[in-house]
Amino acid sequence: MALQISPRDTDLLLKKKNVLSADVLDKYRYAGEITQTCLSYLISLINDSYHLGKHEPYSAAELCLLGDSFIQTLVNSKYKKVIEKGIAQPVTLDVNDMIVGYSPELTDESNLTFQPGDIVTVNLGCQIDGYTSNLAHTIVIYPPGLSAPTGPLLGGPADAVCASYLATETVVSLLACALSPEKIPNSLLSNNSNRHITGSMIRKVVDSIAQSFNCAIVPTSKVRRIRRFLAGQAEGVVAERDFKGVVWSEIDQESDLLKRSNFQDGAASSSSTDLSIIDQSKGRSNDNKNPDKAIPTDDFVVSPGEVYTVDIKMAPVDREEPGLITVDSGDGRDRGAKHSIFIRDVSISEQLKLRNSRRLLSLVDKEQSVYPFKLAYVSENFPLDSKKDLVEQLAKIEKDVKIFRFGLSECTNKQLLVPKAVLSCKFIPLREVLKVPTSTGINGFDASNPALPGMELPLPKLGLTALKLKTLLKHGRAVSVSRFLSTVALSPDAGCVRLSGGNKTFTPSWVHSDYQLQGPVAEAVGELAALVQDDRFGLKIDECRVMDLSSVGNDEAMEE
Amino acid sequence: MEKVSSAYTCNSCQIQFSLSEDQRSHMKGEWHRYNLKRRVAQLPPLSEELFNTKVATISEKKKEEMEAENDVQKLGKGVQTLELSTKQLRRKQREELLEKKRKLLELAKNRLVSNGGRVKMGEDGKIVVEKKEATQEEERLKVEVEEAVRQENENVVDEETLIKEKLAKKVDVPVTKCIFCKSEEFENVDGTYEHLFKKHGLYVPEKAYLINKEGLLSYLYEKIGYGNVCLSCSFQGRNFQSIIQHMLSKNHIKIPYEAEDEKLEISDFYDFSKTYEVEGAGADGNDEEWEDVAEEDLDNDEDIDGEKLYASEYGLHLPNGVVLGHRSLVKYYKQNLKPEKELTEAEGTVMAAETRNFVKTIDSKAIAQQKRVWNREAKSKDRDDRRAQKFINWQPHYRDELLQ
Repeated sequence: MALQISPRDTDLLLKKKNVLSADVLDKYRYAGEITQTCLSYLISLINDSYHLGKHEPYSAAELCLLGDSFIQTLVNSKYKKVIEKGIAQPVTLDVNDMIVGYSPELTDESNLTFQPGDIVTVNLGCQIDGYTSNLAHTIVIYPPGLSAPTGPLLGGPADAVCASYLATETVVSLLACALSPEKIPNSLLSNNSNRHITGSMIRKVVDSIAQSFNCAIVPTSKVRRIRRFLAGQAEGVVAERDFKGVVWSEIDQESDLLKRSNFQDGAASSSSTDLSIIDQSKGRSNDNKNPDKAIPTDDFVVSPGEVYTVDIKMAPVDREEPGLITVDSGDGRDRGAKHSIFIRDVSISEQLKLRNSRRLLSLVDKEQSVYPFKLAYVSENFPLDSKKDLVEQLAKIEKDVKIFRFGLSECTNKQLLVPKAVLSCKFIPLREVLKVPTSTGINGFDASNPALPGMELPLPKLGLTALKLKTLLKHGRAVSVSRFLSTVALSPDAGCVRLSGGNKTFTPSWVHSDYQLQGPVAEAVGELAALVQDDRFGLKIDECRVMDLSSVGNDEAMEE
Repeated sequence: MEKVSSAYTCNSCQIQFSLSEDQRSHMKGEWHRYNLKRRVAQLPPLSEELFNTKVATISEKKKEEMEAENDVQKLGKGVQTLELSTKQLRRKQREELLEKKRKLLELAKNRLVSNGGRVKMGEDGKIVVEKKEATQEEERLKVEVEEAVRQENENVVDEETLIKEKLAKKVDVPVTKCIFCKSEEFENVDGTYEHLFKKHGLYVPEKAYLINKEGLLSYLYEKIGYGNVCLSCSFQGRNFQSIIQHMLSKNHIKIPYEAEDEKLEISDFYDFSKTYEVEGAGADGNDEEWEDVAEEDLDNDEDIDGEKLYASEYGLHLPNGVVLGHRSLVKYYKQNLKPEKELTEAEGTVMAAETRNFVKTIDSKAIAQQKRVWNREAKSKDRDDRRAQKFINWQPHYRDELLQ
């Protein structure tokens, strides 16, 4: 079934092509610039239409398509000889409790417009020759008619935005420390360890930030190394060899929850009333069971020459009621949102019956790479031409998408195209979790919702399977999620290059949290922030800037 | 016959004896044994005189035969004797001859050795090997050997005479006539071929390349008429009539053209050089045997250097790059397979990083063990069932439950 790749090719593709040379870094930089530019473009669109009220508010679908089209145009304008380049992550606009994946097509009925007080995460990505830059940024929608918000966002969502922003910035500066280990704050180093940035250090920092802001780290958050064509776009579809990164899932919330529940039971609770009945946690650093290193472990060292994405999602939790923050992969469809983002499983090839599906598949194989895509991308009218009538082009794309939909089901049924679910965040109270019997045993995988290898069992100590957890979602409450995603290239020669995100380019929205950073990590976080601010002796993080679009236009003119 | 009231008689010879010793000695004699055999054959017994005369005549005849045989041996003529005996005789002779030769050689060697291989330097500087006088025995042996060799040669001469005889018997049929039915006469060889094909079913292979038609036919006629050998089997007829009879009755009028030597036998009359020509090789009559194979089908690494013509396991590679394959494989050439998908770098990278296993490797050991377990389970169940069967009938006597 799977085509065989020779060991020599494997070495070339996975190792040699990932050496961060000047040429490769240029491609990374260009991809980063495109993402930065596109984000600023989308923010300006949202500002213009929602806040300033210059015209009718764009719907989510239109914004997504405009963003995608913008990226595609920029990608096409440079690196003409590179064939494989394009959108690495379709623009998604995840409102409030959505985590990722809400990117409606024009044809969808659920065409959201944003309300004041919503927190919207703009997520996008771009790749040049497989060198990928992803970006996610959470903005706050404030009441229209104002050039600037009159007051900050308050409450739980504000805590989440604060926590995730702070966590992302701190992790980025930590990663930058990998290039100059002498600057690693001493408080983060344990007594007898080398001066390395390790996975457990990252986890410790992020966990304590979340805790001090009374937030939970939403499962699917991760800080991971990315490689050429392997930027986590096919997680769950492909079990990636040599996975390197910190991954947060329900497992990490479990032990904390169990501690809290025992505490609530009172001092009388002894070992006999402990809730940990079944311990199925095989240990996440078990190398014997992980020959391909596909199961994420925390014992890795960040080394120069690698590229990382820092993807941290936070959700506020209730102080009073212990509970589990989990991911619902079906809820997006309650709002009428169909699956709109797909990924091609390249290991499967099958002859299709319907003409429409064959056509769709051949178009996808021809134009799209291993990255997620939307049906609109394979339309002839994509990307949009700014010189022509926009409305007419949008109508044409809509018509094409309708036709592609006919062939879609066969492709998805045969696993050729794997739909990416619209994930949303749910809070499930612990009492509901404890009520449910675990009669199915530990083997109830949720096949429709692929997890990373080694993380198939969400609550190993309670023995709760993914399928059981799914049944509990009806008791869940939607929780707002804030997300910041940034890509960092650690080049030994050029220093730390922040490909996407960064407070120099995008100032975070005005939020106010009642919580403050506490605990042992607070000092280190402050130290790191000071280091980043210090131009002379601090950490130097080179941020990719927004492109000057007029110059791009000139380039095009010259080429013509 | 004497009438003696004696108890000693011989029923088979119908005689009486006065003494039991006489009777006993009679019973051991040849006469009695002969009569006994006659009696078994329900023939009347012979009297003693008659028997004796008979024996005398037979032994004389035998003696004559023996003498005759000896004569034959002496004369060296094995014509009338049985084939088997002549063969044995010949072998015996040859062995004797070899023995004699060996002895001669031994003697010569001994002489040389005993002489000490004395080498003398002559007065005029010539090397002289002193020769010892040949012994008498050696002389005798030499004479015998020479004689035997002469005899052998005589045998060869005999074969020559046989050939001569055959030559005399040779039947010469002109190529414008049919060898089987001599009555018909044709204008040329083509007519003969046509007749042979239509009437007798003689198929000439590779007719397109046959250049010497008369030669081939005369060769075949000679084979039949002079050699009296069948064309398609190894049968050799005693004379012309017998071989014709054999070929007609067995339907052996055909030219074998399968094995290498069969092809080589008549290859002198053919010219295949046309097939080696470069231009339009596939077109000239050859395509009944060879199918055109598209070049991309046979993309093997062997360099086709435009000059040479060579055959590989796939087919015949012509200098112009066209590859001919045999028509027996046409179904494979005709299949229209989907080209193997070429992966882009992106797909290749993702595949290379992929750790999912699609094909489960079959662990033969585990399967074998599982099978053993199943077999053991089935066996023990069977055994337990049989044991249980033993104790089903617990009643000492039959009791009909309906009659309770």
